[in-house]
Amino acid sequence: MMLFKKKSSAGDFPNLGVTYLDSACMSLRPKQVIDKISEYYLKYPACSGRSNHALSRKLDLELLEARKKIANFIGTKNPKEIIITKNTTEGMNLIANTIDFKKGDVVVTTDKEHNSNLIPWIKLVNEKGIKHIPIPSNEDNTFNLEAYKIILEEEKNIKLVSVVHVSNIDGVTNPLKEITQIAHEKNILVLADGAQATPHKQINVTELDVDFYAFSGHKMLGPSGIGVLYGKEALLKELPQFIVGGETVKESTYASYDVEDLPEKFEGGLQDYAGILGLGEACTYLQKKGLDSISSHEQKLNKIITDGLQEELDNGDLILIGPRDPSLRSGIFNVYSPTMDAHEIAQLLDKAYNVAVRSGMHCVHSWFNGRKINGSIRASLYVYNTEEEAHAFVKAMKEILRLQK
Amino acid sequence: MVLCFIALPVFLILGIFSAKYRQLAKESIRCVFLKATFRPCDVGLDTRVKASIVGNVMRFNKTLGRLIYKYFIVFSWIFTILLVASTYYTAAGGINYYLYGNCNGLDSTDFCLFDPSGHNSQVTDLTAVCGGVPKEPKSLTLDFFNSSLYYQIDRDEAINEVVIVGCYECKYTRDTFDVIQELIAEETADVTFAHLPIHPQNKQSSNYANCVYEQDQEAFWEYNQVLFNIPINQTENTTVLNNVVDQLGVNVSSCVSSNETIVLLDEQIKNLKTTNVYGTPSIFINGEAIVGPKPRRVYMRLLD
Repeated sequence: MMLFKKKSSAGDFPNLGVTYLDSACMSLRPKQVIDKISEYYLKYPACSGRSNHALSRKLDLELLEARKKIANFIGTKNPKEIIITKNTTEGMNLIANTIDFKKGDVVVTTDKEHNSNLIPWIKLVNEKGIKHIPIPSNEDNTFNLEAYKIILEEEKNIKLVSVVHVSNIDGVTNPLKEITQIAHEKNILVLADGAQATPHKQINVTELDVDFYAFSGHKMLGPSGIGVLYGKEALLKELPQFIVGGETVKESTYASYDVEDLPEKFEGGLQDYAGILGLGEACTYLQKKGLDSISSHEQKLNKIITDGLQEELDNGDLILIGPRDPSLRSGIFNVYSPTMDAHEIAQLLDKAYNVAVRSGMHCVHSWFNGRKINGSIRASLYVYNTEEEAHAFVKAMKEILRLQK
Repeated sequence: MVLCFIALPVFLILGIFSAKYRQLAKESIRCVFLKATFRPCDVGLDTRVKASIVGNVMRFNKTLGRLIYKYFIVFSWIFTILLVASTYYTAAGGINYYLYGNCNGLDSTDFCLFDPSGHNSQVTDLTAVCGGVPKEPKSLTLDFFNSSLYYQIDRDEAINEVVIVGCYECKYTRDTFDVIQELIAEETADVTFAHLPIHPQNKQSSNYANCVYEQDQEAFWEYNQVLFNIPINQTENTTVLNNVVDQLGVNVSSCVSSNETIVLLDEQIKNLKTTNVYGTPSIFINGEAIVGPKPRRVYMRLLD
């Protein structure tokens, strides 16, 4: 049995026997990442930072190296600015729960945020009386910079701008650098949801000047259950702790404790060491492949799909979410049919054509509900997908749409 | 969609064996409830089931998949009607089996799924003795039956009338022996036992029976019990029969070969033909004929 694909990425990825187009939800892992995870369990499955033996010291070095790789991957030289989390959601929640929001404070987001960057703010609206303002997107779902500027001009108590960098529903990249610059001119902090950006784009948080940046390992070839919150060191130092306990203190008495330095200050409890090492390896893998090369590969495949289904898009059999130009949609091709249920199409793709896509509202219920759309079919492309797979998806979609005729 | 009506019993049954179907069963219940109250199904189950079926078919035959997709409602209705009909017939079959020992009713000898060997409807054929009668339970009648020719137990307070037609050599009568004994002992019933020789030449056990009954009715019922319990190949053996009557203290030596005894047996057979009995056991309870070795409950249910 062939365990790894031969056709794409030098046989690095497991051969699942399906056309896997659901990487925006969960990416596959290359052999290198899987091996690194195994290495921890097989060679030095110890505790870090607390035991004094050779295995533990080896792990300490490996973790430091992984943290440096992750820092380097997103363009910071300071590993103290890398807080290990479970995922993007935890990173967003860490900020939502540590910034001292008061009644009347305002948080600005886009109008197409993943629940990870929406629910924490709605919770604060309900619990603390803050105000949440979603910026309406342009008609083609791209970021409305003018509307953003107006909101920042008119609202006086904005404490945080929290925006998605690359949208998971249409792949559109928001102008994070400009968004940050405009916010900083008004002394407003900026948090970015980078879950869909880090797997596909070269990220440089220093150049973006963003204050906080959260992302997940499982969407960028890394293990699931591991994520990162980047924060500027000065800001992280000022923030209070979120989850406290083991590892987050230097020492304690029955009545007091000394807070640990960064980044451990925010990393409560024993960490997912295998996950951190795997994520570090994923960063290395992506850098070797080249993010620009990955991005252009995805856009090429997205163009094949968009062009292949042009007739269906033109005659209204399919409605595209986001701009028509595939180069603006990263590796995302998200459509819905006015006459067929999205889950039905996804299931037919799965059962009849061995094509795995995601259907539904993609954790952006607010956007779909606001437009009374019941859901969509999202094909998300990545480094391991091939042109043949893109063509196979087009063929399958055409045949499924013909079922009603 | 009507499909959820099919999905409900299917997933309920599968849910008994596998947890993965229990959620689907819950969704089916909700879907059926909504449909039964003329509201649209809101759980998407119908869509998923349809896509799953069509998708699996398309994997092998795209044209057939398209056909099923296009006429899915029609197929759904057909299968729903078939489901309702098969459920009805299964339930009716189950009830009939419980009541009559045959899915198709008391009068039927047709195939029954719950009794695949057909044991409950099998009889020892009496063609050799009673040839020419229609082999249908519903043709059996006691209209011309003369019970005084046979072995009787009359009880003063009887409210039931039981007539048992059987024979010592008959396999299926023997299979029903326990029930026959129970019916004979039934305090609320007048009981008549009519013995039929299945082979015209095998009349010895009948002649002995008639003679024993003539001399000592109580001894007859003991004779009857013994004859049903000795091996079949000994029931016509005169040595064995003599031993049996000797042990019962009855002397039948001059009776068994007498002309009266021969005439009586001929009359018995002649009269039994009027009942249209074609096989044993045939048991009449309050006029209702039960042919073949049915489960005990079938007989007991007919007693008042």
